[in-house]
Amino acid sequence: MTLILCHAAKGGVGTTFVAAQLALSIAQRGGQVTAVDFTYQDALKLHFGLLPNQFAPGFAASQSEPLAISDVNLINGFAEKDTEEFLERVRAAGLPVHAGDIVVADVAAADRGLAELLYERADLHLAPLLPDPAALASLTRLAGDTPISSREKTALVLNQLDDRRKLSRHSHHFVRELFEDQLIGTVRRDEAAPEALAMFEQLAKYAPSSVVLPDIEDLTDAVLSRCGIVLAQDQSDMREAG
Amino acid sequence: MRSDARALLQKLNQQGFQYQQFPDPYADLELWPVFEALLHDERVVGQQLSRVQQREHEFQAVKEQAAARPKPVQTPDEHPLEEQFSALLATYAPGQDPPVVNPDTDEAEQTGHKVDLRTFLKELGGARK
Ligand SMILES: Nc1ncnc2c1ncn2[C@@H]1O[C@H](COP(=O)(O)OP(=O)(O)O)[C@@H](O)[C@H]1O
Ligand SMILES: [Mg+2]
Repeated sequence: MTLILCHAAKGGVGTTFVAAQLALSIAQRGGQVTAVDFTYQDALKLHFGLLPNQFAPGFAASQSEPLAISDVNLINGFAEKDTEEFLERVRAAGLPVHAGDIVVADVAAADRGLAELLYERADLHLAPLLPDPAALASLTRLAGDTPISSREKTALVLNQLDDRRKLSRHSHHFVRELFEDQLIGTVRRDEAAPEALAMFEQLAKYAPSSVVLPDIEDLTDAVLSRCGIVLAQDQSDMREAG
Repeated sequence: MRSDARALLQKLNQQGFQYQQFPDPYADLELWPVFEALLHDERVVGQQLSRVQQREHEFQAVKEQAAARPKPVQTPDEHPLEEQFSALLATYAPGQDPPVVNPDTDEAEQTGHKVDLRTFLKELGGARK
């Protein structure tokens, strides 16, 4: 299992959005992906085109009746996440998923206990961030007293960039200079993202030319390479290019 | 609608357009107090900062050897970032130039905290390598 933990210190920064887009993008490249929603909000599924009253199975139910959308295996882990059984299983052997899965976990900002538990098991921790002061200040709360710069698995994703806004530009340059490679990706702001949600459609279908999509592709490249994953499709792309 | 206005509107509606406006990142960088607060926060860049401070002390040591009356060391808690960096730059050994700001590309940024942030970040980058 490869575990990509998506967790930020602040809500509303695009953690769920990034988790969903990343899962879809990895699956599109042929990766075997499971996306787990650990939040009370249950909004991850919306990015896959599900309605609020359509539900993804828990870990146990998913064994017998999995739900796959666009080749992403969707699980809602909220009901199980605090049970002793689940916690013990995670401590001992990681998440209860197929051995070869690339798991993208969406963890709510306030759920620091789960975030820390999964961090231990994670190959990469993606912390989305907005180019605004409240989100920037929340960096001080991301990893307890451990400096972010010394958390080797933690990588920042600056989301909702908008170069028309001064503070967005300045924040972007500041974060890049300060964190260098630890800023693993940037995603531009595009109204098509919430619009797709409002339509219950996947972003790639609703707005195929959205600027978000190439940014997510770049992010996926960076994430896979950080996790040391080479997918069959990327290999054939490389052969074609070379 | 006038055709030039229509052309401009069309351009503005192209999503890629807005993101290509600022080719020189440094010409558009400013030290907002929230940035400064993060730079000083141990929970954000603990190690890097202390490495920079360590360099500050190294420079100070060199200077103390060279001069009879050394300038007192300024501590980060008591002084804003600009002062720390003036102190750091002041401690460059004789004959060694502080980082140069290119006047052609930086008209508006000769003075004040903008340049200091750039210097700071350059130093930080250097310290990391
Ligand atoms: N790059 C983006 N451009 C435009 N809107 C975005 C972008 N990323 C996220 N959003 C929107 O921001 C809102 C919050 O995102 P969400 O992923 O739910 O945040 P979180 O999970 O961190 O609370 C959602 O409405 C989402 O559609
Ligand atoms: Mg969320």
